[in-house]
Amino acid sequence: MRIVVGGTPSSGKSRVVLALAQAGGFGRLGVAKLDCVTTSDDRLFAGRGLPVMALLAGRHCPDHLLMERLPDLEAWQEAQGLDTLVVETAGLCGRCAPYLADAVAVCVIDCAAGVRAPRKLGPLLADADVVVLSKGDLVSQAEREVFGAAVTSRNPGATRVWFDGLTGEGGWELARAVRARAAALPGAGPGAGLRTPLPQLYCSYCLGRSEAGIRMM
Amino acid sequence: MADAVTLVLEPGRDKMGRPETCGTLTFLAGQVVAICGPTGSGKTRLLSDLERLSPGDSPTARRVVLSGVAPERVDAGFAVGRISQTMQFFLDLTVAEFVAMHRDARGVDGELAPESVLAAANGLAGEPMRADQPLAALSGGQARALMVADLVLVADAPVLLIDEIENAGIDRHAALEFLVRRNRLVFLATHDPLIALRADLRLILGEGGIRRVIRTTEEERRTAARLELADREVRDLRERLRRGEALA
Ligand SMILES: Nc1nc2c(ncn2[C@@H]2O[C@H](COP(=O)(O)OP(=O)(O)OP(=O)(O)O)[C@@H](O)[C@H]2O)c(=O)[nH]1
Ligand SMILES: [Mg+2]
Repeated sequence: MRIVVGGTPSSGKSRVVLALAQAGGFGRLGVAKLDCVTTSDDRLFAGRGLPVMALLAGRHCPDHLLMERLPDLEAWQEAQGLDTLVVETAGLCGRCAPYLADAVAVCVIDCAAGVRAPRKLGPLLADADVVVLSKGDLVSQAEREVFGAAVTSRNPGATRVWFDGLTGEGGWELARAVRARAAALPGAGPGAGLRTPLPQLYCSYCLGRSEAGIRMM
Repeated sequence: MADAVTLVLEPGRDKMGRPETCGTLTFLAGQVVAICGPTGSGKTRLLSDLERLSPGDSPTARRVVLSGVAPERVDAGFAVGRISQTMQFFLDLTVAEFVAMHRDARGVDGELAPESVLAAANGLAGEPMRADQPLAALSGGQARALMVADLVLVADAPVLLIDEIENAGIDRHAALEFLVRRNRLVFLATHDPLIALRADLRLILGEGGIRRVIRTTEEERRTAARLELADREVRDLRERLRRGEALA
């Protein structure tokens, strides 16, 4: 099984990964963390005894990196004998999404981000199978419900799970939702790639330019 | 006829990992249950377990099962309403937007006008709030009053959980009258003897676990009646103090 966990920075993605590992039912589970600039998540996971691989995008976009290195990740999963590979990937721009066609797509979104936040996320939220709402402990129940409705309106087909990263509450429901979605994934097979295409062309800026006002279209 | 609302609480463990010895507790619609104990004893934790109808994955490992409520309502998470100790809103909305959005999120009849919720809230708080006021600009008392009015009129759940209403800076008697009716099952975490004695029974917490379950006795009800009189006098004096009158 493969699971991709995406979401804005500090939304609680690593807590979600740990909760999945703790809930069990995923066999031998390892984590690959894709980050932009630096990461300390690898130590967090290794500290819990999970096999871990960290990749830094540096000057690339983390979605490009995932596409480039997916064969390496697959080889690592094989070599480590992992039943489940979880890819935790850094928060993204809202244009793209890191979801693989043959992986359960999990989006983590922080309740304290405000009701307008769900509308600002593109396929990261809209194409997810499971949407995890974290940090609900920071707001009132009524606000959670308003926020939950805003999330559902952007992706009515997703399974919505409330999860508290501090206490682990909701972890069982989360694991159950991920397993159910994994069972329902269409068999895409290796090499299937991304669910949402990346931008159709590389722009001058993607190619490392820094002067202002270059128009592509 | 549908079965009456019944909530079953299966014991878990306290902060030290010791099992709770209270046995399985069953609560029925119409009951008022106080949750008492020192700060840090696990009152809020218990309310969280009740709110989530916890399947056993919380730190206490308690299990909570609610029956007699439509399964769609339970699955949507709308069977239990709660106001926590927070006295502040976080969302970037005005009062009217919030009430309308919460009403729509709960799938409540569109006829419930935000103005009626606002009017109820203003009946509980001192300084009136306006419909176009941002939530974040409300005072603690105003925010709490709006939470109470919203809980009753918008959420309108068969089970209500209220964390320390006495600290809210609102008229707690008016708030209680408003909350405790229509055959609801109500849990109140409280340090206030008058509120605790309004309850049919009280759960005493310590070190994260339920230590005792006490039924309110007839004698205690007489104490409550006496307290009520004293409390009314204090309220009267407070009003006169606010109006600048002599307190003799
Ligand atoms: N209050 C509260 N804090 C949370 C919750 N979930 C996570 N946190 C805290 O939020 C911070 C970030 O959590 P992480 O799980 O590391 O978030 P992340 O998305 O993996 O972060 P990056 O990988 O750095 O982008 C940590 O300090 C967590 O303790 C929650 O449900 N409630
Ligand atoms: Mg992380």
